[in-house]
Amino acid sequence: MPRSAKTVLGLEIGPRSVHIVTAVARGGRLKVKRADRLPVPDTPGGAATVLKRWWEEHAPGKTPCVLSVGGGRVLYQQLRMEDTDPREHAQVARMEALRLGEMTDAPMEVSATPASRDSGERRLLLAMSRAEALEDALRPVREAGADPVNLCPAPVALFNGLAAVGTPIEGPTLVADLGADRTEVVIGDAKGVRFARSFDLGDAHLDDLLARHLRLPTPQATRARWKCDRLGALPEGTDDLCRRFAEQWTREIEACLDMYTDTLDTEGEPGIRTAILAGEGADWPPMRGLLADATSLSISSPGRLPGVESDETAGFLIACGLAADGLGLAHAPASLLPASLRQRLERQRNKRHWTAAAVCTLAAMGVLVAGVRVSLHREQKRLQRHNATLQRSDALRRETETLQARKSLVEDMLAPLEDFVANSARVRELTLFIAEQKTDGDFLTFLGDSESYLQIRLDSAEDREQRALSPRDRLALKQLNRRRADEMRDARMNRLIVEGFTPRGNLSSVKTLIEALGARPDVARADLLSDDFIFGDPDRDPQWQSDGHRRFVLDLRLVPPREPKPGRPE
Amino acid sequence: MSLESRLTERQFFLLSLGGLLLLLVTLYAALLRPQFQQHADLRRKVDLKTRELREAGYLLGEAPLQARKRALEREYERLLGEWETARDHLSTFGDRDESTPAEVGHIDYKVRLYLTRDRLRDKAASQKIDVPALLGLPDTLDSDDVAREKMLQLRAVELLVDTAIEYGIADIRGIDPLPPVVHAAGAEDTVYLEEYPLRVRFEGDMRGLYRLWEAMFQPGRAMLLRNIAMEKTSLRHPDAVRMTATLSSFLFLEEAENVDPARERNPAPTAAKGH
Repeated sequence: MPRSAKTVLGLEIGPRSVHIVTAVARGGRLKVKRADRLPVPDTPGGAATVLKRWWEEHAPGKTPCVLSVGGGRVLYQQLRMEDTDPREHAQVARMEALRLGEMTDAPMEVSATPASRDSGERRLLLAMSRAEALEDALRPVREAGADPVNLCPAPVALFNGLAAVGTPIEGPTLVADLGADRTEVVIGDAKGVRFARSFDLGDAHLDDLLARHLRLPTPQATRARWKCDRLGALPEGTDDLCRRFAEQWTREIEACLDMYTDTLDTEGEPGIRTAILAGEGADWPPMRGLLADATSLSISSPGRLPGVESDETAGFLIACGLAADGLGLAHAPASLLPASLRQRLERQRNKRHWTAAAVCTLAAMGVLVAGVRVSLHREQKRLQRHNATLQRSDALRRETETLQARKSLVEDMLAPLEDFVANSARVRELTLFIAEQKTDGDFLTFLGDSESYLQIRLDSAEDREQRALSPRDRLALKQLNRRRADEMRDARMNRLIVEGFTPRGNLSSVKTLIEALGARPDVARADLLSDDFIFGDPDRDPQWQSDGHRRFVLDLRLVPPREPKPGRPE
Repeated sequence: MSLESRLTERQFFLLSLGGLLLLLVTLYAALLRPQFQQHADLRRKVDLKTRELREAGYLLGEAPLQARKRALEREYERLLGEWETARDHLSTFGDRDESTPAEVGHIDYKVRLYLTRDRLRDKAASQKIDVPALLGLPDTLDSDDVAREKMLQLRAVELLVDTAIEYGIADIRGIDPLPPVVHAAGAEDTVYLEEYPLRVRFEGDMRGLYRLWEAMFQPGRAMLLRNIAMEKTSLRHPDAVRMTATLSSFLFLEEAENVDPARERNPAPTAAKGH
């Protein structure tokens, strides 16, 4: 079977036959592609067997199908909500189902069908059924491998079928589906359904009456009846049986009408004058006349199935209504699907959305994670490059510091040697300079570094003191001198003492000499030594002063050859 | 009955949401967190190194650092050259191994002392120059431990007296070898230089002393001045002077490049010991 997304199967399963309508929606109208009537053998699970065979033969796959449930499995209730009732239709329906469920001690599924599509519609037709009865109805379809998308009350499907085949409905109209063992009745108008009922009277009852009267098996009586296309062709004496059946059926219909007028406020509305007869029973030609004679209602027939050349329209009306429901063309929507199945169907319907959402979410997460990873990876690369540069700089730093340390070390090692070389050179140059610069008549008696000057003078004083000292004190003095010599260690020769005598009392030549020395770049300061530090030499001084010469002592501070480093003793 | 059929759509939504969150957490924990951690570690390392370099003044880029290093290398090479020159000019005792054999006994010292005294006495007499007969050195040693030191002092004295005699400079009135000064440097205080100072008293004319002074700068005779005092001795002889000086001879023990520099700067890199 060619399938399309819009193809739907309407399935009506009766005790003697299964009606299957395969339909599509074209331009907002139902188009029947195929209508099959499958006889059901009188064996347990016969309907399931027939359906399974049909499914295998036509392979509709997962084509959605809508199933009818009717007869004694469904209770119908007409309800009019108060104008002030704030509840929604579904809430009202659930509460009624709850109430009935408590009374019957069984969970109930409920379907609410408003009498019109108006948003403020207060009249409802409730169809309620026990969950296990619905499971029984679904079982043959599931066993066949079908995919039911809805379970519709048979009277509502009948009304939808009537609208789907294009039968005009003007004013309140009764539609009756004469089945094998039951009759489904629905009353509605152009706006929707208002009343539904089902009663146990079908053409199988007529067959039973004929079989008993003719002493034949029921199937044989059925075939005999269907062979007669008029009432007079039936065996003698059976027409009364037929009339009694028609009267009984009419009484049931009238009861329905009475119930309709009793339960619904129909005052001021036009009365029901027309009944549309559908169902497999209606296809027996004498039946329409038989029932028309028994009732005061005008009996008419539904229209033909759209898209199918068949005269047997009446038997497929419910199946057409089911297909219309599955295609979303139903005039009066209703569903008695169990909650679990409805949820599963919703999930199936939403599955692709879920899948798309999940894929999008996973993709978004993937993109996010990948983006973060890529970004981190790039940042990591950048940091690694930066780190490599820093490491190279650090290596350079270490090498530079090592070099610096080595350089400092060599400088430190060179420092004492530089001092020694500088000492000799500076003293020699200064000695020559002073010899050239001194004025005639002036003469020098001492030239040396400050330490030596002090040492010599101290030694001279000690010599004089030692002569008066005991051996023990002499040893102590020797040790003291030794300590002073130790203090001289590493002393740098940056201070020179020049002692001399001048015949000039105003020391003018000394002043000239000091100025000349002060001008030298290697002399930081040249001055007369303070008298506090001048030591006399009693052994030699008298000969220098004998001619009236005056002593002068110069204190020369030399520029150090190299600035001492911190921590290096001067 | 499958799990899917037992769940309501809301439960399924919440379950899916939970699953997604779990997946997100797993992705974070398995993929992102280690990378975040690694990234944070690397950043910390980079920050630390950057701070270290900035504080040390080395956050300049590689090219300036290379330039600084090359300049230092040139400076270091220059200093090594200076060191070589100084060593060549100032080394008094020549090669270390030759000058200071590992084993010097006191007999070696005494033999050399007597021979030197005899030689210098004869040499001084021929030049009519006075030198101290004992050269300021002891005849006896308590142990072999000081033999090397005394031997080097003897060599310094010998060099000084030889120079004074050869140049006919002045009378040597007194020689007093002072304890050696040890110069150490580097991380392990490596001794790289030994200084043998002599406190000497000359008497002569000024010109002769200048000649002696010049001679002290000649390679192989280098003796450098630690202290000096020149005194006029007589008013009637203007050129007569007495010079008291501390003159040091040097024994180089280590090359500059062989001394390990201290990682931290040594507060007294060339702390001298002795004298």
